[in-house]
Amino acid sequence: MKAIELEIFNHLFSAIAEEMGIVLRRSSFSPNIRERCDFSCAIFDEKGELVSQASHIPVHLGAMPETMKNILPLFNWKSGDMIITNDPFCGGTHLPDITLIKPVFYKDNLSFFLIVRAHHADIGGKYAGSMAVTTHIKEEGILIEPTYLIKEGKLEENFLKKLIVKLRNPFEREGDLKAQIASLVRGEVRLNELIKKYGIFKLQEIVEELKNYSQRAMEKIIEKAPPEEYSFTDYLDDDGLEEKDIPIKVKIIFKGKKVIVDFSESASQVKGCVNAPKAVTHSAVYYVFLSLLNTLGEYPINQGCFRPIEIITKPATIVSATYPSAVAAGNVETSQRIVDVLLGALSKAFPNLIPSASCGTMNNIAIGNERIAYYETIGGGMGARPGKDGLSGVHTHMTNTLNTPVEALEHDYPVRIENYAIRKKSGGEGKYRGGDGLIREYIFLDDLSVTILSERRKHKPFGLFGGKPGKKGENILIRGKEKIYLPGKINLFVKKRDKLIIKTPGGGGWGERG
Amino acid sequence: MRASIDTGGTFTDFVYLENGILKYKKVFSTPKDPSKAILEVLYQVNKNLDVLIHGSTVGTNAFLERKGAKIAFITTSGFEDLLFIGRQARPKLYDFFVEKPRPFVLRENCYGVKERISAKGEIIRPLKTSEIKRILKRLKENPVDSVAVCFINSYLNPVHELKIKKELSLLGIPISISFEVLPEFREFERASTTAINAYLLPVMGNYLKKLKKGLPEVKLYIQQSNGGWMTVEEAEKFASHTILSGPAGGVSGAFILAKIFNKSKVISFDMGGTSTDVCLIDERIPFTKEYILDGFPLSIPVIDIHTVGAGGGSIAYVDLGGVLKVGPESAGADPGPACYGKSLIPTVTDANLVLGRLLPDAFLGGKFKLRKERALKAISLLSQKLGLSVEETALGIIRIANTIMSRALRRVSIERGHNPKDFALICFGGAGGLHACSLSKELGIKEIIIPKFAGTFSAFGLLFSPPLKDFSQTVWLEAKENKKLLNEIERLKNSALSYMKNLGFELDNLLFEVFLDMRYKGQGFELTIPYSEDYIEAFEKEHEKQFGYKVSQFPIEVVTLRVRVKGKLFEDNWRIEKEENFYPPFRTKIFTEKGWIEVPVIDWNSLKIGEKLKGPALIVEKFTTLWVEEDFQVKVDDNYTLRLLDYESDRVRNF
Repeated sequence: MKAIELEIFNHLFSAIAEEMGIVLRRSSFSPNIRERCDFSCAIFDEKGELVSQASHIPVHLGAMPETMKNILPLFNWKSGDMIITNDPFCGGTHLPDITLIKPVFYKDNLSFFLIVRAHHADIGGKYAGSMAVTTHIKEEGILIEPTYLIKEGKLEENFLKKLIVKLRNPFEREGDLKAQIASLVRGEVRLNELIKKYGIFKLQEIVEELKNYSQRAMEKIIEKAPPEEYSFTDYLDDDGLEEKDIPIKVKIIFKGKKVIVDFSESASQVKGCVNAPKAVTHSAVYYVFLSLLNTLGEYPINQGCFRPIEIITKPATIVSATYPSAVAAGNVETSQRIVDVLLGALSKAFPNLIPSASCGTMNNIAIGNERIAYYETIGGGMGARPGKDGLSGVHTHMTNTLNTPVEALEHDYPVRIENYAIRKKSGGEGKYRGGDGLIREYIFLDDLSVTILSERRKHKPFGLFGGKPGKKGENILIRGKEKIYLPGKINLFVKKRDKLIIKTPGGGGWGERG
Repeated sequence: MRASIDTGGTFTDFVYLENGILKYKKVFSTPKDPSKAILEVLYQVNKNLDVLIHGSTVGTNAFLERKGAKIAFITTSGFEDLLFIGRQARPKLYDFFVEKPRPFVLRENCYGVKERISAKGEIIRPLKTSEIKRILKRLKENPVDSVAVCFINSYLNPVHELKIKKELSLLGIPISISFEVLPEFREFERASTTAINAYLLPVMGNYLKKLKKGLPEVKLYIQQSNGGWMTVEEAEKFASHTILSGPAGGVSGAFILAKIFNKSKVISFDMGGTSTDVCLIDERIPFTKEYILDGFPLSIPVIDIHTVGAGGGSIAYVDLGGVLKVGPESAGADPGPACYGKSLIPTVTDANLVLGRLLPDAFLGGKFKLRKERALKAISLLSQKLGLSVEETALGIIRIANTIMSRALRRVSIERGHNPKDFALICFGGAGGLHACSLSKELGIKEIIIPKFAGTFSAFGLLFSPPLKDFSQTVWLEAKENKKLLNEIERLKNSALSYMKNLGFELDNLLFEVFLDMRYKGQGFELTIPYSEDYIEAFEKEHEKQFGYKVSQFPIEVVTLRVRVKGKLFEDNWRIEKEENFYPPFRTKIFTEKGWIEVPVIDWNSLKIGEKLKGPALIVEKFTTLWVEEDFQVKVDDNYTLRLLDYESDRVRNF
């Protein structure tokens, strides 16, 4: 009967994670959370292993198990506790991603954990939006080391007050935290209902079975690769400070039901903000393998999927940043390059399942002043797939956030969008064409500070099997009659009537054009 | 005589009232020309018809199959790709081979026009006549059947849209402008809705023309997705409003039945062949503005129906990890479940047949014999893989399908702060009766109501629906600005009034409902609150109910106003006549969690009003079968409507 119960309980657990997401999204304040779905909700078991996660945004996915692993031993967990953190060096991603963790008890026994992580519009620091070119984590915003937000049912009001006054638009931040708390509380109610109905032992037994089931499925896809070693290297354009390529190198070794993903030879961590915390690197690896798994059918995403995958990183490198390096763009930019590198290597093992490089950047734009902070990302071209063209004007791989409606943006902020279009012919040629990138033009209606964090302004997204690369991205500022080509990563002050043009990269082509 | 017709993918249902007697009929649909089945059934019945209310899938199907008109999409220059970029997201996360929704407009037919309205509604760049001339020329060179116009920020100031509409009407083709279709903010959603409207107009127009020609003497009304009907002329202008009218009819039916039984809280449960639709009614029929039609937003008010991919035809399979799965793929009507005789695809219907809950010779009143041996074979193929018995496998399929359906029921009730214990389940659609008891137990629902005509229930709903028209306007007001708000409401009400007057409605017969889309300033989703004097408090209460918190010191804004104009309901009495018995009583074997048990089979037609009986029993009707589980008690109510109460429920005593 296991075959039937596994499916039933998979539905029951994922319904809880999904409902937590609905509560958060619909009642939150940050456009990042509500409009762009830049958040994730998950259930972990008492051992800190992932049980179920609502599919919201891949870059959080592998990071949450890392968070749990780091935080579980730090506290003497009590019923009614809630922990808050955004520490990138303790399983976090970047500072704006605030994570809340709630233990769920059944009769004095720790049974489950619930986690919700959401990207707040601001977390303090030097620049509005907290997504800027910096050199030290302290410039990026407030670092919240894991600590109590609620202790045995009592809200740590002093802590909360002190925290939010340091952030831009504290009202909104408080609202977002309230929405996050509400989401966890909802999850706890639902888990307790399940425990009451089926008993804790039954649930724990089924959780183990679910993990084993997903593990078996993941092993099936790993076994399909010829048991060899595959390597690939690609580069980040720069760290925003120094014009120097930053290599990311991977070696993937398939051994029967196991796979080792080794990043040890990647560059050391750098001064600028493109350093990726280890959790982000894990996310990228898991994302790629889960997408491969998807070619076999839909399986529950839980810790079992990750068991056959061993990830090796060296501390203090670009893929495993240590304190006090700046990490804002590690989550959004470097994560995409890590995916590209993995795809490059795996294309040799799975030639018919792996797409060419997609635009490889999230094209982050942060706009603000003393009072307001707005942040958005722009999609690009998807790499061509074996047998299919890539999609145009879409978010790929580690993100899937929605755009903010132009009418909402213009209503709320002193900005006008003059053009939002598909960037024709930016996808790489090939038997299958890479998708085209996007063009977005902003006219500023006030003096504002703007940060751009973008990649693939120097190195093009690669094609595979003879497909041509996609076009590079471009950032251009028009001031009066002057046309200024901007670097990929920059903090700048714009004046009223300035125009900013962002052209995002196209995807690589696949196969030679016949 | 008044009648209603619901055209579905497989069947066309016909319900009419003759001297207070409700009669119903079911014929096979004629998808190539749906009017054929309609005219055929009317010919068969051969009665003098005055009024016909019609719900049709013509629009929905034309969209799903991308068989709408060739349209031009005109927008502000710089936004020509609006419909192709959408919200910039991909529909699936972990899928390298994901596809975007299939477009319905050709990119070469999208035109940008130099004009601009600001976020405050001011004209920044006037729309020059030369620009319109340029577009006119292009449209003459490259003709289309229909045009959609959506300018940025036009919801605040329609002057450019109105101007271009006027000029383009020279072309003699329908022009849909976004301000008239949906004067609300969020450009992609508004553009998509307007374009869908333009896309469906010619198809709907042709279809209605044909129908009118076949029914020259009849007053024809068209059911809309908001649950009410409109005149044919309105449907010809707002074709997009006819989407989902069938399921909407079902919900209207549930609402009417609920009223008859004096219930204000019910959940409608409509299990069909490919999917299950559920809707929670608490005093009023709920609507949503976030309906997605095959990947594209249709943001007009649509009855808030939650659909899941589990129905009678849902396919069961064993995945590579050795786990049993059900749906969302469906065997459809062709080839259909294994027991239809054309395939060996195991489905939920096959599982019900194997478990003895469906009788092979009772389907469609015995006109269509189900082949049990094929169902057994199909499911045994699965059971071999699972190492279970055929019965255990079939029961597993039912349990998984029930889990999926109960997730849908939870989504509309528990997850929105409602307790299912306070609701009755109104069950209809061909397959619902086989699953209703089990689902009620799962959710703690205390009462199930099943009408005898459960198989033609949507058409019944249409027959008693009111005329209904929705008006809206985004206003961006602080909730505290009471005076301004009242002015805006008055304004929208007046324009609604004159609109209805132009359609020929008598104002005395009209009812107005006002709703406010409200949110805390800074949020991205609005809650729709019925307007009352203490609308701010009502908003806070609803927010707390749905999300578990409120924040009293936060400013609140009213984003959009809605006025719903409702005409008079048909409130005639009706009853249904007793039909002849189809089956003599006998006993059959049904497999349950306890193994095989013997239960009586009862013909619905043999039941007497007021009669009570206990489960387990199988009650059989022409178009539906009801599996009464052993903990349930049945009461035969007026018009042979069955009411099932959970045996252990304390209310059984007062039954």
